Amino acid sequence: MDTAIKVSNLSYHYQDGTEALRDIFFTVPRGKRVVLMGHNGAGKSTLLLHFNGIFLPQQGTVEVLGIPVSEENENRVRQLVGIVFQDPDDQVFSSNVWDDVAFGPINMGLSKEEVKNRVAEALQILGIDSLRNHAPYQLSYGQKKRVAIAGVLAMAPEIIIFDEPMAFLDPRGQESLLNILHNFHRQGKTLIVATHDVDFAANWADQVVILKEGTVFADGGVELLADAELVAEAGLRQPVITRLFAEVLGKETDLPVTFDQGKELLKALIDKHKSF
Amino acid sequence: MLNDITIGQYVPGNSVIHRLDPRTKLIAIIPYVIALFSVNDWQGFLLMSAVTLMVVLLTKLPVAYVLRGLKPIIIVVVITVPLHLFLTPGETLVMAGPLAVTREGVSKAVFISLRLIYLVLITSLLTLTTSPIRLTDGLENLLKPAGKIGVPAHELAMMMTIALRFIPTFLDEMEKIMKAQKARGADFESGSLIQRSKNLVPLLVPLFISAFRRADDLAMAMEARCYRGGAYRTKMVQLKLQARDGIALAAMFSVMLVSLAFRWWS
Repeated sequence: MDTAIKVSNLSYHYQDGTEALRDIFFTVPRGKRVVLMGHNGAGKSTLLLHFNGIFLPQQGTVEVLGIPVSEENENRVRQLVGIVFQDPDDQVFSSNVWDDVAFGPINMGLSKEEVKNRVAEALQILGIDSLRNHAPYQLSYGQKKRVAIAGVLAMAPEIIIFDEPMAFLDPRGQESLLNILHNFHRQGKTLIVATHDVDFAANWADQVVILKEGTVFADGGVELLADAELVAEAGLRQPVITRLFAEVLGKETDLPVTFDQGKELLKALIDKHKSF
Repeated sequence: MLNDITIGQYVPGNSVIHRLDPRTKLIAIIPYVIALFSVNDWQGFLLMSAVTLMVVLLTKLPVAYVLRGLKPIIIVVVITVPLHLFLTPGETLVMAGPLAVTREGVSKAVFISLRLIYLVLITSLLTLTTSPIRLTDGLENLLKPAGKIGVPAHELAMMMTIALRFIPTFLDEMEKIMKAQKARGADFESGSLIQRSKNLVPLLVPLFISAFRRADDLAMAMEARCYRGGAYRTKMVQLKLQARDGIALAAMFSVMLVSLAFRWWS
């Protein structure tokens, strides 16, 4: 049970014949922070919806904590995997916050007490307890985003998927979302984030999976993002730190990727300079 | 723009009327309306006025706020009152130029205006004192027997909740699209009727596209949270009739009987 998600040989065609995914293979270990990247139309969303059983594999298999995603398992899988969609207005639909967060737990058939406890806990973790009776249109974008996350958290999923979580959030909203992600990680949840934000990916992820035209183009650690050729081919770019050092040092290998690596390298360079 | 929309507006409170079961409120409107349309003399309208006033006061809502909901109906009243005053044949009271104001005209004008006003007033109280969730719960419950003949009660109720929730979102979206199109020189305000409806195309197409996209995404998001229609769902709050519901219904039905009796004997 150390594998959270295992995808093998997955292919998916849309009804009009468009090939969205082709021969996808990859594994996500439990408790890891994974970033799923790729150009627009690379198949990120289609792949994410497979993890939750909204799309069922047409070919190949998807296993969630050892359970194959199929029609008879879809309800179990949906309890294990939560998805936070990009636009909270697509997800938050009830007339007040409490009802919306309770929607998932009620669908799971939990007892009244259990629903109440879970909603209270989720609201508290996201810091929106005071908004419980507000209507969605009274909330700011960042608050709505938290409601959407609370709604998923209340279902106590093992794996949480975020589609572009940082999009449209102001810097403070991004900061607090990072804290929320950090807490989920500490609780041992497996987190999968689909994003175009290479700087976020470089500093946050344990594993980076890059899709290109429906296939897995690269799968590995964040150092993948330092590879200028690879990121260009995938329609991405290098993290700011990498580009900065590439230009300053005039080399293309052994470049830092994360903020901390950059900091260490810079310190080392300064120290070396002083000792001359 | 948003401020003018009062549909489904709910003012939280703790009055007797707020606490009534939503089903009671929905049903009580029927005898009220029957009573309102069966009375046709001064005593009858006195009774209905007293009943309406009592209900309004019982809600403990600010009266001015409740009356604000009547704004749209005032226009209708202003148009119909002179028509009734001058065009009803009968005993002449005053001559206004070539037009005669008749005794029958006066009573007809007053009665019909009161009917309209009370009707809108009492139905607006329904949404003012009942949260959308409770209202749809009540509707779903009342429709349940019809479920046996294939009426999708739960789905209808869910549709209503979602529709109410998305009214502000769509108004927002419409304003956004309008601004975007105006920025590119679109004109929504001038021209002939045909020209103007043609000009609506750049507004309506994006609006429909966004509505369909949103519906699609919402359905996906709901499914992702294990939603599968009414079959597996249990209710968080079970509706339960209380003594006050019985009293309220009994009172409304007595009003109906009294007003029917009034009509019978006069």
